[in-house]
Amino acid sequence: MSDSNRLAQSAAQGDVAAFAELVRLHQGKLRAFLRRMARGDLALADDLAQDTFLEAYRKIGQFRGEGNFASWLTQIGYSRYLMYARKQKLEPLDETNEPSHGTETALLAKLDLETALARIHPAKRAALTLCFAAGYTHEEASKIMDIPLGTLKSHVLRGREEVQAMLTAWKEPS
Amino acid sequence: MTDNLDLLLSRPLDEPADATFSARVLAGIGRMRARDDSIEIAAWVLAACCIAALLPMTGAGQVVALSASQLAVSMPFALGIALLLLTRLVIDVVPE
Repeated sequence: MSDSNRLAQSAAQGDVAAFAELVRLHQGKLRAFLRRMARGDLALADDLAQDTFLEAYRKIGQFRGEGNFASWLTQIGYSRYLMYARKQKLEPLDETNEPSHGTETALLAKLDLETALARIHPAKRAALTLCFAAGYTHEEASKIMDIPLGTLKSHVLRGREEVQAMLTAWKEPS
Repeated sequence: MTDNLDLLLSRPLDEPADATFSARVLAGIGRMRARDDSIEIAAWVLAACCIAALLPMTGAGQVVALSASQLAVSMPFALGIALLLLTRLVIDVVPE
């Protein structure tokens, strides 16, 4: 059993200090994931992360410890993001950010990637982030997103194609 | 290009420093627990008020009221209460 799962077990028995340790251990990854989902809106991402931890605290008794605490937490975070996006009717494909052209440096490439990811559908953005940057398997990511494995794979494939098309277009002089 | 994209996508996300985040979450948990406790206490008080209001109307309630009035004038009961109070006093006053 992992340290986080042990801490989760203690937290489920009312140990607030154990839950505090879980917050300290997992806040970075969760906030980073939600920052990408929120397309760089740091305040929104942190509010969602805070709500995620509060919900996790309420539901900690439901965490059986069979799976990974981080993926369970990310699952709550993703559903929080979806709830917020539906409520606010967030437009996933608005084009507010101008991409940079012909960038070669790592930093600018990263900025382009973030811009491209911000423009694709949130489900594809989540799928790509979970499977690549966060290192989850397809099975874990499909569980986190609560979608069938086939749909997850399709999101990864199409999301990747869309990002690639955008990056290629931005590199070519118009 | 394909390999580059995979490399770019696979870069770990930049994890923000904790700063005051954990403290904010724990403060939120504290407020949530206090709110839950208040709701629980209010529910218990409401339940006790309902029982107190309805009990005299039931047969069982009348039996309880009769027993209480008999206990109130019972010498062994009074002695028992006095003994408990005395024990408590001794525990509080006498140092360990």
